[in-house]
Amino acid sequence: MVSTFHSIEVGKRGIVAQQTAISTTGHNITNANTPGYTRQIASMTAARPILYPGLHNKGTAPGQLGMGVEVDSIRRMRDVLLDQEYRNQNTSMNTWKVKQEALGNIEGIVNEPSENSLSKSITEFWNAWQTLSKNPSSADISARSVVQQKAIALAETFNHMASRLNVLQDNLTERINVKVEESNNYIKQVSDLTEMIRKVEASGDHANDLRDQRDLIVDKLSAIGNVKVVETPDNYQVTMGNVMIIDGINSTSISLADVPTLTGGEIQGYVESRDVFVAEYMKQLDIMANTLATGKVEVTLPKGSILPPGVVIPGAVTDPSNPRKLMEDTKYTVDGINGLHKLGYTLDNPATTGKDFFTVGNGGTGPITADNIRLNPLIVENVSNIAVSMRTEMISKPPAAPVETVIQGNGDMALLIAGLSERTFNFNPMGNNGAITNTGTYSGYFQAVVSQLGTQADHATKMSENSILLSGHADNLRQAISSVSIDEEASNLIKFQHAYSASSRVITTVDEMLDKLINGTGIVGR
Amino acid sequence: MRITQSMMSDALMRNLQSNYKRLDSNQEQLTTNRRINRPSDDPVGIADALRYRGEISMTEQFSENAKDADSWLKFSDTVMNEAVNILQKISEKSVQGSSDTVPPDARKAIALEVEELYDQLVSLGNSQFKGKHIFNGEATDRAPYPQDPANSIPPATTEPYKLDQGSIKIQIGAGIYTTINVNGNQVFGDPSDSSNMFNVVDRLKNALLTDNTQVIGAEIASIQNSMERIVTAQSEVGARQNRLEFTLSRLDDLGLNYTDLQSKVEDVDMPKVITELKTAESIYQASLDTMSRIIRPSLLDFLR
Repeated sequence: MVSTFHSIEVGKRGIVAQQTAISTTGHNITNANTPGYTRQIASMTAARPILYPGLHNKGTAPGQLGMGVEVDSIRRMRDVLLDQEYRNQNTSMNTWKVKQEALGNIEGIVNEPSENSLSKSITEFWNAWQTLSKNPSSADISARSVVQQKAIALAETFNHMASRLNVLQDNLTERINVKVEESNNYIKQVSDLTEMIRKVEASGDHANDLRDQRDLIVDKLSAIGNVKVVETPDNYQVTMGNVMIIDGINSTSISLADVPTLTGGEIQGYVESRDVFVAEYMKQLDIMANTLATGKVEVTLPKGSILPPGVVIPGAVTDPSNPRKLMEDTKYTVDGINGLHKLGYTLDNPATTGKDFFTVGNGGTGPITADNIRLNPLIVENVSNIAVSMRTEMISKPPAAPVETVIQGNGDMALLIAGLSERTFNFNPMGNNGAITNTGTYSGYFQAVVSQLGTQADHATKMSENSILLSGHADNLRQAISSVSIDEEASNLIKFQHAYSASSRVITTVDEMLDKLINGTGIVGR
Repeated sequence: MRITQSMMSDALMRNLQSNYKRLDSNQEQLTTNRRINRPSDDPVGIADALRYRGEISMTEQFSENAKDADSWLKFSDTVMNEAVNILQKISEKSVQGSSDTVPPDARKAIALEVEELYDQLVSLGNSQFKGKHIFNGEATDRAPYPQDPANSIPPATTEPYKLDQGSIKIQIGAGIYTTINVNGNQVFGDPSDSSNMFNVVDRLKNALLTDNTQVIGAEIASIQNSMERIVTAQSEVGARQNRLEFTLSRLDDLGLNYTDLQSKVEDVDMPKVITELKTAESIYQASLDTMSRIIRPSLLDFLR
């Protein structure tokens, strides 16, 4: 025998269930644009029917009478596998984005092609020596000033590029620190959320919105480093690099020491940009500055040149009456501009040989680098210290002793230095400094450096564009399941509203039936 | 696949972004008029571009050098012309003086005139171009000839004057050098040689003073020889100038050639980029249109 009020209960359950569904739909619609939000559905099932199988007297009523509807759970529509796929792509995208940005910065520092770049400074430097070769004597000191100024400009271009690369390196280090901080902040949030989720779900509910928040934060973590999530019914673990940052309710912060274990993400991108790209171009600039000043290069000393005292060239044909005088054009390997410059004579009287053309700045010692290369302060002070002539003669004004005097109109040294632009330098004397090519012309080497930078930047740009597409695709796959469709929600709304109205109609119907039973039954003859 | 509004707007934003990038790159190329604005625009082309830039600058320098060499040679030529004219004058005067009919007083007057011309020749020998002595080899800061060169050699002095024998070279091409100076010895003869022009003129002057018509006659022939020596030196200078002119026109061609190559590598193909820009613009317009049409309506707009 079924209770009189059975159907009212069924109707009421219908109303409650549809109301829950409408609330859920409203929740979906209002969160349509919330980042990380996963659409939820109120999962309805038919309530457990009355009359279990048993020894009850079946009586006249049919068994298994329906008890209406129940919302057994409110669930998120989400695929965990797609999450992992998206995070992997997101990690890769952010790695390339960072690398592209860093290489773009380096391109800006190298600033080629332009009218105020290193290659321009180099060309102008060689040309200044050409001009000087035409005006070597003290009659026209302006040509010397041109060489002086262009040499200062060249050294300053090196210094400027080196210091900007240094600043870039510092910035990248700073960003790494910031990103480590940021991830620790996220780790803390994930840990807090995991604890809350654990509490909520202990009572059998689904902590949908908390889980959305946690997934969103893990998404953000995946931009910073490569993360992996393992979720089992009773545990939740997140690994970043090879550090288990979340293990249930326990969390571990990451530190700079863990940075090398990261294989992707912004931090790894910054590290690679700093330690590979920026370091590479600092090294190449150092090699260029060092080779210009002291790199081995073979030149042909013209015949008639007077070698400075103490310089002996093996196998050279010299004048028997003056062993310092070359009788033939003589090939000789010098140590860069500095080595060559020491074979010439300044304007000083008696004849004085040139000193190092480029020196280490700020009183420093050690090899010349892009950062410390300077024009010799002696030349900055006085342009007559530029050695241009390669010939001297003994001039005697009796009774004074003969004096070795420079022949000022000789511009062979200037020609030789200007000619270095066509000579082959040795960029890699020890074979281990990481030069792009071991030997080559000076400008050829720089072209190779710029070309390599271009290739790397181009590759990073393309990879970055590709990874944007790939992560977009992975996100699309995820959104296809999880994102809110307004149309869908609107049609659900209609569906649930109709069901709600119909459920209340059930109650009205029963009400009318009871009215009939109570007020309209047994009044015959009244 | 299930598609939602947010997916569509995300996709549109991504595509708009790539449209923007395309527009930006086209506009950058048009405003800079350069196809290569950074190494990554064309990693191979950039190396060529830098090489051509270097070559153009070098070629300009060589061309400037060749012009400087040319003006030095022109100046030397003018000086030598002048010397020939003076010798011509001396020769005419001497012919007058060699005649027995000329009285000794007139010969003395001629001798004075020749002495003045001798001084002029010395100053020509010490000519300076832009402050540099042109006949003294590389010792351009010193005058090659003393005031009276003919009497600055033995036996008059134990320290004879000496010209520097260096040659001044100028680079006019990759590995190509040209000598621009003419040595005084080549033009006027070796100081110790009796046929040296200054010695000849000096002897002539003395003969005029001493009325020695026989010596005058002999030295007139020597004057002719001196003139010939100068003319020979001049013709060599002329030949060098010819070579320089040839080099200059070759350098101009080379410069044009490199500029052309540079332009091919670096410059924008205007019609192509403008077409691309227009395409990018219309794609951009279309995406905006689509966005406004697709995103707005939803089922809710039709439920009343």
